[in-house]
Amino acid sequence: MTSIAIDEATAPHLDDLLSDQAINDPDTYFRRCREDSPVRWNDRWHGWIVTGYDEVVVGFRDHRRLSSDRFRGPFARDLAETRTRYAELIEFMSRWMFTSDRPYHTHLRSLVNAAFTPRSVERLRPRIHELVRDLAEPLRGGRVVDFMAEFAFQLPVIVIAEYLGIPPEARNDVRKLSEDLGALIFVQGSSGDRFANGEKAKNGLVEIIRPVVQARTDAPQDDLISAMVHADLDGDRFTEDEVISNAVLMVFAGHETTMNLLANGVTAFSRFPDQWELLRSDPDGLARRATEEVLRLAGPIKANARWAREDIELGGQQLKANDRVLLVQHAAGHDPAAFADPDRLDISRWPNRHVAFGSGIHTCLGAPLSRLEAQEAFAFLAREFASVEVVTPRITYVPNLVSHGPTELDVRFHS
Amino acid sequence: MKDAQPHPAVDPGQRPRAVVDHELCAGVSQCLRAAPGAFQLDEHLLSVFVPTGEYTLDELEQAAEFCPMGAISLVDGIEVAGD
Repeated sequence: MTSIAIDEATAPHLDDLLSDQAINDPDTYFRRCREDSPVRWNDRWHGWIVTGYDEVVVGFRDHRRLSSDRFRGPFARDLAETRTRYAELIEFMSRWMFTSDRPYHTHLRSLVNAAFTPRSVERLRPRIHELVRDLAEPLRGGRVVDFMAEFAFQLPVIVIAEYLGIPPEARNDVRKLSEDLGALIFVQGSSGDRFANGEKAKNGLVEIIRPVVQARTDAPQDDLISAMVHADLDGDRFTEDEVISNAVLMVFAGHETTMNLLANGVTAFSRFPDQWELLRSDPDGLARRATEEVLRLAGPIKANARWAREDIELGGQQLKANDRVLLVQHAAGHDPAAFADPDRLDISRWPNRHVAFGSGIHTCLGAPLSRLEAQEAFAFLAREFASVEVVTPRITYVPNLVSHGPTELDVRFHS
Repeated sequence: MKDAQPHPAVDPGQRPRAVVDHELCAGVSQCLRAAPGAFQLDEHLLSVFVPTGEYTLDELEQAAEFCPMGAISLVDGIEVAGD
């Protein structure tokens, strides 16, 4: 992208994480933050915004001093009002690994990890290939398609539902409910509606998943819920409620994120047609690196929040106990100290140590599955189509701190 | 795995060993649970294999299988009788 000189008088305030620039041009916005300070106090968010690559990596790895626990510390105060009204929902969410600290996190993560192995994911490759091929049918013929609805939305939800073992007839309900639950998790604030809808969605998903868990307890099948129910590490096992909570987590966490990864990839290739050409020259050989590069340039998760358990020094700043900390993965991937020409898509970039999946003990569990889906999709689309053209005149992105994905994306694939 | 590092040469009959590819390791630390004697974290909180540690082949295999980054591989060609 051409760099645009920013007029200090008209540039959006650096404290406004939801400004048009922050949401729709995060490369520029977070560059401005990083240039001001890679660890910068934000008065409006009331916390530290971490945008330097090294500082983000250190922040993710230091789980001992930077807590993920949303139900204690400064984030818990946001929940004070909702805690009593939505006690059951909060209880349900407290069994999620991504918002828990050690030692409870170790129990959850290790058991899920024993079930959700890269090898068990790799076994899905032929099925994912088949799904990509079928879902790509409507993209043919050079017509303008709603890429989110027709493709990006479909693939991840079918894959995760099949992998978990959720019956196909429940798939449409799962899709809708997981969107509603995602709205609760990905958006800041704590308005009543959001919690009410989130609770309804959670209850709906539990109603679908609990019978599956109960059926698999007596009669395991070759699916993830069975593997979770029967996971046993030296006598450490899941309770039924933990299996249900974490199965629900996987449904919504694996759904919106992979959808946005696919959409952001198509957007990036439309901006950098030479890279599409390059991918077409060897789709199977280059799909892996292309996927990592899309994750770096425009990963589906912009940032993750933490809070300091004690006073710590990070990037030359003194963080105080109970301070909020926002680790901005998107900004880390665009730090020129870590990546040459960072705002450019370069699918031959290697090594590519982006932190789109985080780092440390909370590193995205679904990373192998998300990678596999994106690799299969990008390779197939590159093989089939000579070019990809985004038709939406100006892409706008969902206005929240956490996720990065277009609100709509009309695309034309040329054969 | 065309980007994996070459395995160091190992004498036959030596104990099973693992290598951690630091291009892939993210410090998830699941290997420390699967094979506590075989891995530790370095100053960047990434996993390193400890060849002098206490571990079994089973534990190493589990560490490799459970690594969500696929960063751990066992050194080829080692069969340890009675392990």
